[in-house]
Amino acid sequence: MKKIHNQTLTFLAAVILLAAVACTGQRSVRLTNIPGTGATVGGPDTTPPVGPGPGTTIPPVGPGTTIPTGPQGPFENANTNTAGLDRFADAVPNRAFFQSQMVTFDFDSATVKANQQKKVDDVAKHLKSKPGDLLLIEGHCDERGTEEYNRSLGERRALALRGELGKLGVSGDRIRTLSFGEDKPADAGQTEVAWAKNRRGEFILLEPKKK
Amino acid sequence: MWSAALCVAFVSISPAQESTDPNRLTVIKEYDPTKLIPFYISGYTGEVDRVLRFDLEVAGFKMVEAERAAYKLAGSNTDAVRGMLSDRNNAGLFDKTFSGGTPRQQAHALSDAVVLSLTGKKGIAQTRVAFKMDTGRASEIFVADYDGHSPTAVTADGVIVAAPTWAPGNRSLYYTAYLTMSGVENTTILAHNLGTGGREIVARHSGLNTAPAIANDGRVAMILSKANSPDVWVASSNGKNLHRLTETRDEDESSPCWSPDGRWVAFVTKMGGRRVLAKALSTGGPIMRIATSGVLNPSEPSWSPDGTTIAFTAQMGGFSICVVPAEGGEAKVLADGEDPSWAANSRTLILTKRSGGKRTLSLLDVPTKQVKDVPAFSGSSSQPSWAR
Repeated sequence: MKKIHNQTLTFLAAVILLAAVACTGQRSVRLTNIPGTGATVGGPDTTPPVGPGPGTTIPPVGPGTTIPTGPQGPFENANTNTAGLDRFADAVPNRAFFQSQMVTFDFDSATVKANQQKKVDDVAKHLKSKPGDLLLIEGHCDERGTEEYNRSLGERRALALRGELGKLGVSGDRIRTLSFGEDKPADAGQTEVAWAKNRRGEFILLEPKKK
Repeated sequence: MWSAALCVAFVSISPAQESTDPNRLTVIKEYDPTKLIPFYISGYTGEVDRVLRFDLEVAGFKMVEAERAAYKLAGSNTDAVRGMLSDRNNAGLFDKTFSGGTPRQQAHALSDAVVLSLTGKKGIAQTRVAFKMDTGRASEIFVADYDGHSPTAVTADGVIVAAPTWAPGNRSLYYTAYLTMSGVENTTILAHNLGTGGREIVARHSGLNTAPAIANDGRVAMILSKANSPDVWVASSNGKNLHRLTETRDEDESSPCWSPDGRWVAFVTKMGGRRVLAKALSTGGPIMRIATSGVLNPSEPSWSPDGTTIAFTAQMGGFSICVVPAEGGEAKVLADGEDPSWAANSRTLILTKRSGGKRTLSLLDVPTKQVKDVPAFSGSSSQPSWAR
């Protein structure tokens, strides 16, 4: 009981204090809000505090430091048709398997060059011999393009390789594509040699999970 | 109890107010936005002084000696930030004092008051931007004041993220994240409520899901390759009611953006082997080219909030920020940089610049072509989106 009283008193004191502050704030003559806005600084342009949720705050990050914080809540309403992805869920990636089949592309092009065809043939041959295996094709770009342009171009490269595999009799259902645009360069250098390495398609074998 | 609660709310959400006497609005007669306004500031110190100068230079002002100034701002920040604006004949235009908030917020509010008084347009010094920052192996979405102050991480997934964009009302962000779910890594477009932290999956279809753009009515345009080609798709704000806007078999589209009236979606495609800007009715219809005469390889269109202009990136050796009338025509090259995003004033752009391996953000005043760099963050920063 006493404790409740104390809390009530503290709350009342806080209210009185805040009310006093509010009144003091209003005392000066002709106090007006920031032009064209409501009561907040910045008005409609101001976003609410950024954070993962009520009761949790993300500490601000000063220039020169990077402290990514605050994981987010669970996803609501998984609103997608993931049917095309579901069959890849249990597959085990083997990145090393097709490492020497990495395909390179010309600048700003998604055309599979004749001198890269042998690599595609090798991949097709393996997939046809192992009907239980699946394939992930990653598409990548050099940095000489704008970011979202490159994300689409990388996807186009991956899809072009899938198309070539289709011509060789590999069903498209067994293959999924993932474009990283310019976000995952094989070589971080800024030379033609580095760029040529980065314009690529990578085949990642997806093997069935061992029972 | 009710009145007490109201009082508390009032105090807590009104950090900076101004007292002004007289509160007059004086717009420069025949103001020419293409001319820098010669301006003189005196009496301020430290952060407030720096903020005022930065804000006003972004807004198309040029700091000069007192004798050469068309307008002068005198004041102090010893207690609250106060500003007395006068013209070259020392005729007073306003005398405002700001209370509450931080000195920095008060300085931004004063900058906006000066801009409103002299140009008749609402300032942008109290707005925020979202962008992508590299954090080593991954990247995260950040939100900061428009000048880069107090950057705050919005995501913490430790994966590659991309293409943040604000939903109307600025209460949520949409972006792309390379999320692994059930062992499958795939691009995923998320809607992220900044107030609650709740996230909703807007698109996670087979293939590419990226580049969300939100119309003023909440609809989403985005790039999906679920039909075996990167195309523009339009959906409701939650990703439902999908319809395909472009059906180009051999060309990949990228970077959709909305006209402010929601009728059109502009995007990048190829015609006759050449990269072009194009648009289609958001409900579907033929693809129409938006001419960008004089420049090559346009991408990343951003339609100005007033509907008149499209800013974009041209790639001709390096990257250039350009503008073209929204209906197409002669493109104007403004500055080095890429991925422009308009402020609410349809005048200022935030953009990305590359230097060596690092990317940083800059602000461009379109009519005067004046560029101010946002101080560099620790990580490479790109794909800015301006809350408006």
